[in-house]
Amino acid sequence: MTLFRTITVMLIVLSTIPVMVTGALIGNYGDKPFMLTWQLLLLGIFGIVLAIAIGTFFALGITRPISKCVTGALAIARGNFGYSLDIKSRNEIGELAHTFNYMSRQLLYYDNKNKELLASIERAYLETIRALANSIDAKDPYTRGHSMRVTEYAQMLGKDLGLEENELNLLSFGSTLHDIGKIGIREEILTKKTQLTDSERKLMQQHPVLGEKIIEPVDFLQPVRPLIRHHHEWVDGSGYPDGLKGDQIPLGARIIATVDTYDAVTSKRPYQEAVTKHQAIEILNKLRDTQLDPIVCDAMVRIVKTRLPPPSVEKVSPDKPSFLLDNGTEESNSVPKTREVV
Amino acid sequence: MSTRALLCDDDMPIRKMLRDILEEKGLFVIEARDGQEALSLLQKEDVDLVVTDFLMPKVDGLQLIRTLRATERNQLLPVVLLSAISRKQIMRDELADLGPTYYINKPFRPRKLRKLIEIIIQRIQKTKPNNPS
Repeated sequence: MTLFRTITVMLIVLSTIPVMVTGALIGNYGDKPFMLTWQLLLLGIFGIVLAIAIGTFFALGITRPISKCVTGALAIARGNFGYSLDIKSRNEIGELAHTFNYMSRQLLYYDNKNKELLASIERAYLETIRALANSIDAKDPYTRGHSMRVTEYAQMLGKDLGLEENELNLLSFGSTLHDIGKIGIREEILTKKTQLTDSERKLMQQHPVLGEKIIEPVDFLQPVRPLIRHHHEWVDGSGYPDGLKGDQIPLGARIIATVDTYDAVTSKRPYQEAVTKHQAIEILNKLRDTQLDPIVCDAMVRIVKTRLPPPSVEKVSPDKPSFLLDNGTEESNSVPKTREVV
Repeated sequence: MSTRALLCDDDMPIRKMLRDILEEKGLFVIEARDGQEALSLLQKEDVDLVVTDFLMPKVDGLQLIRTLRATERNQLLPVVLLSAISRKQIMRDELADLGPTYYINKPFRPRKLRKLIEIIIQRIQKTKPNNPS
């Protein structure tokens, strides 16, 4: 605004002075005045009006592009990288606009590059977590693919329960790693075919605590720790390790517990045969309110009924998410009594 | 209780200068270095007046005003917005009602700010006795 005023005033002063001076000279030339006073006055007014018009025009020509630059700078400051100015002047202001647009494009490019880097770091995190999860599977062949399936179902369940993007991410980490503590359990206990003795069961029940300890030093997994520690808690408070009840158990842990139960009963274990989808639903309903959170459990039953294939399909291709392979409508004829361990 | 002002600017010398003006008017001043700090201070502290810069890192002055107006208690809180950017530029894309916001163009004469602060203090004192708290 100030610049606009300066330029206008400057042009008015500079252009009216010569008009006045010439007017005065012409007016007083010789004995007979060439122009009358009112004519002189008119000429002066005309000169001033003209000066104002021209002054405004030039002033706007300079201040408008500059104020556009300010708008652009503010847009970029607000994170709108790539914002480009529409200035056609061929003077220094045009040059400024050109370099401004160049800067804006470069910023957009750097920003995208940073986003790509972040994405690749996140991928690296995920791969590291997968590798950790694989190490559990390597130790206990009966649970092979268990972590992957639990992750896959937990995501479906989480989305169904309306979790947000970052919560789903944490849930994915938590569900992949939920059994990581089994690395610290002796193999004889993990693969034992008969009932565990009391002392063995106590050792086995240490795995959520061990799992939490294992990931403790990893900074980005801090929010996942409660999910791993509490995935064997029961809503009635009779679970382990802390005997938490209902809402005291983090929602993520309740989701993992439900999905874990479903996958455990539909998989062949050293101590049990796999059950069909139908039987699994019955088991889930039986555990509702005692072991499993009612809301989470109901959502899981809904998902099992509508979206999950019968457990047998999983062995066809363990690499791909099983729900992509089959709709799982024909349940009765495709379910074998036992599922092969790949 | 004395009248409390929250002062928010990322530039130390300007903060000091503004603090002097505000304290001279008998205000108790708390300082923030950017909009984010101001918002977290506003959650803990009760203030009667906010004096803020526009161009600040993290959260700018306009975002600060917009965010603080979202709280019921701050809807009528007087805010003085200081900026080298013209009011027209700042308000270009602004649709929300910013409530009692006073704008001062930088660089400004201290006299102008003093006068504005006096007017605001008078208004605050007029409304305060009606306030049960």
